[in-house]
Amino acid sequence: MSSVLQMQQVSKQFGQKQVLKSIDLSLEPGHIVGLVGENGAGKSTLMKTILGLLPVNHGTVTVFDQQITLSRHASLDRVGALIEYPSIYPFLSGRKHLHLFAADNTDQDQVNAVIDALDMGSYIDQQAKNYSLGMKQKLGIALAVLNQPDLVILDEPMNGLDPKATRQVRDLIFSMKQNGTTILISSHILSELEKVIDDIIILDQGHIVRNEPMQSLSDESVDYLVLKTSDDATAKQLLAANQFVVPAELADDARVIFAKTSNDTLAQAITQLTAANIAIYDVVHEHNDLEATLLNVLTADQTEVAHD
Amino acid sequence: MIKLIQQEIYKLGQKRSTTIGVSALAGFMVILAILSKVYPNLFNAQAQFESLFASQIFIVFMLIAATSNIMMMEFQSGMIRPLLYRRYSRTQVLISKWLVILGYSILLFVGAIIWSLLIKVVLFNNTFALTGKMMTNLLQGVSAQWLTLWLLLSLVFLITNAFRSSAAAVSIGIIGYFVTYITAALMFGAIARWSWLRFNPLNMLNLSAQVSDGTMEKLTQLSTSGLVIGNLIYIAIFLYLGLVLFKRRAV
Repeated sequence: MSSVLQMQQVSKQFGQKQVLKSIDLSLEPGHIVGLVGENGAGKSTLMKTILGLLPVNHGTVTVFDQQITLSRHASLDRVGALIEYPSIYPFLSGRKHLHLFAADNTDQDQVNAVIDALDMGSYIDQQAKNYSLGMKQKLGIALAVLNQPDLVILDEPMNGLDPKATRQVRDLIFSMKQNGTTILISSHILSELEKVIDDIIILDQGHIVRNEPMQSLSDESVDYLVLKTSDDATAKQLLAANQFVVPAELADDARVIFAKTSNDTLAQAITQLTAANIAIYDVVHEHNDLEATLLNVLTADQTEVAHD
Repeated sequence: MIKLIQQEIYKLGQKRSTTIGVSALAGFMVILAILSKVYPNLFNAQAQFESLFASQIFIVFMLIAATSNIMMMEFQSGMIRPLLYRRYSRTQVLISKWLVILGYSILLFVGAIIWSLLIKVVLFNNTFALTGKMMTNLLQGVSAQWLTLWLLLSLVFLITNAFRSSAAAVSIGIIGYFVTYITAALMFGAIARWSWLRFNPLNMLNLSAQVSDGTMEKLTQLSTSGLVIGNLIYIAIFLYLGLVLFKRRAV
């Protein structure tokens, strides 16, 4: 099977600023890949180099076994994208946009299917200049997926979408995946992203710090137990003295909080607190989400860079 | 490539400015024709016909605006990205825009000629007769105007790619149209003194004037065919430079 996307030693700089640093990347067919990182990490630049919108200073970008350059990128025929913000021709309606960009083999039924999938029927015949941000965003996504591409690149697709629209986009992404489409998606809405992605790429200051299945990142995440007691201050001291682990990033948290390091951690804590005549009113189980995990990874990477 | 051209034609046709511009042009020509009919002492009907009822300056402005817009709407709307990340090369994208403006310019000039003939038949059938010489002069004049207009349009293509500024492109296009009249005395004086200056692009804009008045050759110091070739060379240079910039531009 041909590779969907390969980036080898790709570097890109704007003036003196190195935005991408020796990026090596490969996407597997039929996977949904999340691209995350702070503002300015290089996510949009990376996507633009894949799409032949920016020249690279070093390295190669290959899409469906053809090298992508500014002037040659025939294989992008199999790619759909939404980059940075949804663009529209203000004098055209949404439907006319779809007809304008429909490939010769995209028929009316497919156009209607995309309109239905994103619930755009009520405004698709209005001029796009009157659309809200969310409407434009949906039109941008519709244009990206219209011709049933094999690779879809979506830069912040959830921007401006209400919960219903977010769900429609998520369902659309899942249905495309089932048809074998590979999807590279960046988003700052990490809670939404972690619901859809199979693999995650974490980009920090122009280089990839993690590139792995989402599951392995989830396995690293830490479970916490948060207790509400009759005497929180004493409870904290007691647990700390008995080697219950309080994560460093939560050291200043006023709550009674500690990591769940084994299956009987809670039982041990209850036993010790009860023995000290401290009543337990409530127990909450918290999970480190993608946001917290991402922050940990980025903090670790930036500390490492600072030490270097 | 055909798909790209179809898309550019579709966009041009969907813009309200295209419909309004063409309608206004046709209406303006009719109004001038009626004025010529009602006030023959003020407006000479034959002269108006030979100048296509003053439509040429309208067409020049319309095409300068359309050329600037066909490039700038992509940058201003952000649609340049969806346009470029498809299978087509940047060269194909830009050439499709050139071809559409080329077709539009031919259509406007041919349309203006046909409309003028219709007006002549309806309003001035007994006022003056169409002669072969008159039609030859008309076609030569229109062809010369069309070619020099393309010199300006190629410059507008270059400027929109260089500066991404619609205002700059339209301004320079329109100023370019008038500059030959404004600077004529100065330029001809300079050409008389330094003859190599006859190859400057502004001198090429005198083609229309020279076609209608052969004595201009003494001032331009180039034959009419020399001016035609000069126009073609400068058009090719400006379009090529615009293409080079477009191909290198990061978006």
